[in-house]
Amino acid sequence: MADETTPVSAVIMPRDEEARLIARARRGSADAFRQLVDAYKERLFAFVWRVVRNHHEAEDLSQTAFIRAYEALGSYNEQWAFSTWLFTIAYRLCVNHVRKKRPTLTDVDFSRIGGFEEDAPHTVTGTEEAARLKSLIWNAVEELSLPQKTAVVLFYREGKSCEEIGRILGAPTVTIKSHLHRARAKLRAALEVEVSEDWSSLPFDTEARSAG
Amino acid sequence: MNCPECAKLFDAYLDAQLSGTLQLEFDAHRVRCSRCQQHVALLESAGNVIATTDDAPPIAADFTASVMARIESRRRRSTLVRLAIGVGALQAAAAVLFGIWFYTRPAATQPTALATTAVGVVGPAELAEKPDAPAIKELIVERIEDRMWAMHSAGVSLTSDLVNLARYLNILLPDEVVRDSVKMADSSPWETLWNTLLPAPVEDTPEESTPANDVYSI
Repeated sequence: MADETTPVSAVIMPRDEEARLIARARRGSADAFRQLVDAYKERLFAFVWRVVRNHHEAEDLSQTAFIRAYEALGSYNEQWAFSTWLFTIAYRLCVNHVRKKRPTLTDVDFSRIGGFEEDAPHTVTGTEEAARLKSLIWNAVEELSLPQKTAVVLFYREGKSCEEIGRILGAPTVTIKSHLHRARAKLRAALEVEVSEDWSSLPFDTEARSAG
Repeated sequence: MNCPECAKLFDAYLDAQLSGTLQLEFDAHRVRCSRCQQHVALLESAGNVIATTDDAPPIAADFTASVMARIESRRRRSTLVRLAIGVGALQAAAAVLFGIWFYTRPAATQPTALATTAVGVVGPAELAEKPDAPAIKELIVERIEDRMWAMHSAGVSLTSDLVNLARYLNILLPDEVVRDSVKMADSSPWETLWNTLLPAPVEDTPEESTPANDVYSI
């Protein structure tokens, strides 16, 4: 639950200070926008990297997102958090990027698009059991569709509400709740195979258990 | 409550949207059902891992510099394009004006030299020598903004004329500053602007006053 954990991507800039920087950047202040880039670059890069799973591509897309944001500052609506707007730009760039890599795909699962295997999650934990759990969870996340994975990352890592995620993905809130529901069901199913002690109750066959 | 009914509430529980009797029934079932306990624990663990894993590769040290360099490059290209279009339009206008003059002139004089002069008046070199007005304006606006924020931070109330000036210059001020601005009917906005640009005077014997009563005097 996003409100009971401490997301890595916590808000680091007070809202009024951010508003002031945005106002100055709108008037053309390069220094103000530079401060905004410094404030959000880590979070944005981590988000884009989670989606495209390629370091170089993630950096390029993140830079492009900031450039697009700078050029479109006039259209930014203060009703939404700046991070929501910025992540919207980045997500759309990621979607276009993924589609370009597989141009024949339309509504197919994007989770196997090239690049996601190039940067495997680094597991840095103390115990083998914790490391295995982390690996299982992230592998299961990688199996999600692009909208599901994006919704999960934004919900848990960025602490975004379903409404804000809907804004970013360009989908209704009810669709985002559906994404989260399906993602959780898939995560639970993936993890159940590894941790369940009663094999007779598993919906999977013993071959799948052996392969795990 | 049975397991399927409990499973339908997993999302609401994870989103902290359960309350009242539904929360109670959910907890009561979970306490005695190891399977549902496990399911919830798996999902909570997944959420915790996703939220707290910090395993993204390091971002390039020159990331911000690269972004700003690309922005500047695009801005310069855009300025050159606008300048070229502007110069072209002015040259075209000059050529049209010369054409009108040439065909309506009372007598033939030195058409070649005059044509060159007409175009030369609005040539690109002269345009390039003009001061960058937007940059100068930006510097002035930034100085005014810094001064207003300094006054606000010091607890000094701004006059409504200053607030209006801020609005005109698209300077963002907190809502409470706008609400608390004091109307000074006899103040001149231009005098206000001039006084805003000047550094604050140092008084030998500062009078005692509370921040709430301080008003910027003009």
